[in-house]
Amino acid sequence: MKVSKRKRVSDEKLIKKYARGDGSCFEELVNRNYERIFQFIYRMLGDYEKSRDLCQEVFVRVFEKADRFNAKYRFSTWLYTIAKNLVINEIRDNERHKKSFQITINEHIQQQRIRDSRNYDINSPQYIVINRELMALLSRAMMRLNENERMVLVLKEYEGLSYDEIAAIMETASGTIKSWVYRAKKELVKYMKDAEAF
Amino acid sequence: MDCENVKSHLQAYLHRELSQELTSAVESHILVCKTCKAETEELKLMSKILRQWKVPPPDIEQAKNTLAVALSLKRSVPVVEEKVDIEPVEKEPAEAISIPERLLKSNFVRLLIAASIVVFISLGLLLMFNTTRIEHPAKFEIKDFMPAVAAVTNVRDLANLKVAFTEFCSQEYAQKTKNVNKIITYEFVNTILAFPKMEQQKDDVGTLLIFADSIPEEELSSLRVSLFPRAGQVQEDIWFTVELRSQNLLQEDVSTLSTKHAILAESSGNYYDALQIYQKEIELGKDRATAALRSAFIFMKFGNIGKAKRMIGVARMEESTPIVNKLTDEMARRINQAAVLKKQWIELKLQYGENDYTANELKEILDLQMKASDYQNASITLGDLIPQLDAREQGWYLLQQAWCYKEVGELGKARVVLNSLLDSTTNDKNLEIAARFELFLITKAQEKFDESISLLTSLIKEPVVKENKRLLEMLIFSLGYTFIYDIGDVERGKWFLNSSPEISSLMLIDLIDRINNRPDPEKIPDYTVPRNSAAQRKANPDEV
Repeated sequence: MKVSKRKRVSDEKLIKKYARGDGSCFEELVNRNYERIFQFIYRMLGDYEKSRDLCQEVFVRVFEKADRFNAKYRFSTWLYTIAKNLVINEIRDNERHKKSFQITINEHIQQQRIRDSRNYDINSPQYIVINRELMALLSRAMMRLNENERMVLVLKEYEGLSYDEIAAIMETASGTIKSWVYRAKKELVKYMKDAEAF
Repeated sequence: MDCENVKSHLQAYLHRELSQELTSAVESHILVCKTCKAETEELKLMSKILRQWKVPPPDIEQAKNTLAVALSLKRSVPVVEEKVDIEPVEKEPAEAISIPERLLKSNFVRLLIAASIVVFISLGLLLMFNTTRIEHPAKFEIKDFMPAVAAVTNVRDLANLKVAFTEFCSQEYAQKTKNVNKIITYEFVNTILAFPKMEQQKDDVGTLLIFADSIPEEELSSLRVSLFPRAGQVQEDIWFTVELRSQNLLQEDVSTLSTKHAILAESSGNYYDALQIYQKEIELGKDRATAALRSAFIFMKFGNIGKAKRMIGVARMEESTPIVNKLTDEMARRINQAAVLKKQWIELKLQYGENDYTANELKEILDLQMKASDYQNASITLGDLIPQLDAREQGWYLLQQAWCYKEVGELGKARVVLNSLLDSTTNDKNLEIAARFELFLITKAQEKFDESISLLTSLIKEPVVKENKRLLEMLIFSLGYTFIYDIGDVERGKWFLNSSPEISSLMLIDLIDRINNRPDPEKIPDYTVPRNSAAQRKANPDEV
């Protein structure tokens, strides 16, 4: 009974209830939001363990600062803003991160295999392996984007947020967000073309 | 609408976020402008590729557990009062209750905390239990593992957990129990980190701690099954190696890798990266003895005796355990022997002349090179020898050539040789089986596991193989092993391995070797069918 009733309650109400001392909202909020925040962070960092740690950090902050939640914003906007700040800190702290994603000569072998993938049936093991390589290439391409471009692209393409919402999270005008998304995609297209995987 | 205008609206158009008026303006432009049409198609395709990027799911249950503990740990930190602009609070004011208290109100969180405490205590007890089993001379005190337990309590901080455990194990525990060496300690830490579920951890910790030289064989065999859960981590490491190779890591990145990764790189025939990591390890003074010994072995395979000897010097400089000293002595003996053999074959070459060696002369040289484990030079000799032989004799030498290529990491060449061997019609079934098995090893090193499995299953079905019990068991062992470690299908792997008790103990012995990182060049896998059985087959041609 309690669960079905809670499904109708918005995240904003749940966090407010939590701030007023109802600890039982904790589980529901985690259930609803954990996975998407994790995915967002993972797509930004490309590292499972780091993403897991950082995602937990995001939620620790959310629950610690539950009483500071501003009701005029949506809960998801607030959540993404906290995640964004932590991700940006992490990226800046770890400059080495970018280096490890540099393209090298050995990748050409991988690219050749991706080009060959057109000959395979989509269900064949070869295709699955090559698709994994394509995804590895994509993840490297993503890491080459600057953090703002990468972030808006992830928020738009994967999280499905509106330009206005992203603008609120990024604290920038929505026109700027549009041009960042466009530029990010063009960059990716260029990278994939250079790798002849496109 | 001009192209610039269209481009500025293209994203919103693709996300269907434009007004009807703008949408039709963009559409009518795309119809007439080839450049913009091409760009739209590209962006669409990019979105399609982006959508395929799946993220591994997080473990939400574990996250909840960890979060609850993390939040409860904050109770000692005073909450800073701040003015907030949210709507007025109805009943109890938020400041009146601190966060942990709020959390503790929930039964769910209480349960979680209780469960974690029970697990931590049991982990501690388990450690003590195992310590007493190994019977080390000094009395083991609870304060010895306090840093570790403290680290476990703060489960969120994996990096510190690792440091604490490593420190704890190497300084206190490992020193008191001489038979638990450093490498096992690292494995122990890795195992803890690898498994989110504590139940599995318990098994692994128990098993790993008992990995000691003094444990009798029969006791080891009873522990075999508890090792299987490690498979997940090993699988991850293999993928890591693939990544490592594709990225051709920069020098500074190498410093973050460990000997374990280098050994995995070696298993994929990637000796260049492996050597790079070992050299960095030696430079940084991490695990220096193992790194030096492995490097020496690689240099020996490449016929570089001078460098191999230098590496032995490095290994000797280390203050190390008796087992490492023993290994260093053994490796030094082999290298000295290789040096003598190298001298001999060079002399032979000079004696026989520069270019026109006969088959017998080449065989003599080859024999010395193979004895010296100098696979690089042996493969060159074989290249000269094989064209001089008749088709019947060529087979086994081709197999040897493939083996040499494999040993120096030239997997592509090895494959070509084997394929040509298998294409040429041979009546020797044993040779064919040996070649197919070699091909399996190469596909495995190349991470083409689907091919590996199909090669193995076709081999197992061969009637000749079914007759040879030892060979059959070895093949089933390889199949189970590939399923567990390479594909990650633990269930199926277990099924194969449990089909025979001998296979299970073989698996266990192999795992112990892996964990101890013993560079044992003598242990070349015994995969070839003995030559005498080939002779028997000739004597009985009806079997073919």
